[in-house]
Amino acid sequence: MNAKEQWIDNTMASLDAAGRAVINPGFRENILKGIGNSETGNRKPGIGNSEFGIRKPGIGIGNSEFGYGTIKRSMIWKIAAVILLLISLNVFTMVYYSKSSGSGQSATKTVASEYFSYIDNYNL
Amino acid sequence: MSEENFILRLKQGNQTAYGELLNMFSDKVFNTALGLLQNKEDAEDITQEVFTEVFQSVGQFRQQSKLSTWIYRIAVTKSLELIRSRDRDKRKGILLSLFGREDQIKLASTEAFYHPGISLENKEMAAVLFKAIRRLPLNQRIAFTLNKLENLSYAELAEVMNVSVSSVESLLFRAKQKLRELLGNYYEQNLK
Repeated sequence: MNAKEQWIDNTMASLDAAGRAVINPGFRENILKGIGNSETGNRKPGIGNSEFGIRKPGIGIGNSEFGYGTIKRSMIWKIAAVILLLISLNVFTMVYYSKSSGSGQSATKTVASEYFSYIDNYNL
Repeated sequence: MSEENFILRLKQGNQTAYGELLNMFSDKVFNTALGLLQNKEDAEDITQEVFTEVFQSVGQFRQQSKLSTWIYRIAVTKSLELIRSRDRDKRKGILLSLFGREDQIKLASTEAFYHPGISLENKEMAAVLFKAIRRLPLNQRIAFTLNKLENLSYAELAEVMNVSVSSVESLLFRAKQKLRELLGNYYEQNLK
């Protein structure tokens, strides 16, 4: 085995006998104190089950046992992109067919008459 | 005392049970967060958040999995949230730099990470390995870190990650492959 492969093997094995990192014992006391505060009412009102405060949904690992609540930001962007795509397709289709049908109506008027036809009712 | 009795005491808000839970799991949670985040302060913050979540949500724990599995899942989820938030900050930083707003950039630390549980003779190699681990896709990173640092078996990993054992095998295989490739590149650039 050459030097490079040997080094890679050794590096991959460098975590093999790793001991567990130990948290500062004082930290445990702080956590318990923090929990004590939340038990006595210093807790934000929750969405859904208010008894247990605000809970973030499980993210990223399969089925979350602790439920769902807020919508992920990436999902909002996806929904917005889909809506934008649908509107664009709709506009493109209207403009294309208005031109090909030879109605003489401009693209702007076509879109306006489809989306804002209620304006005609006001004789503007 | 069975796990069921212990969980019942937790659900009843028994402070002694909370203390026992902390004694049993605080190091495991801290070690998990430290391995994933590679930063002591972040790991401490996440540990606190994990136990806050555990104590607030234990009433709704349906015991469909072991208590340890549930706690590991929360630890991994919270660590992933922080990693993703740091990645968003990094992307924002790149955008800000285009507009000359470097003063608002807060980039994740790229310093070498020395895990406190690694022996002295392995510290430098482990630091290089941890740097390579940062470049793995998140699922591979979770699987490799928990397997190596928490010694979770394939079955335990599968439960924590809610995937099949064969998926875990595949994730670990690909993680090791990728790490070997990254280490090879590092060797060529720095040690040859």
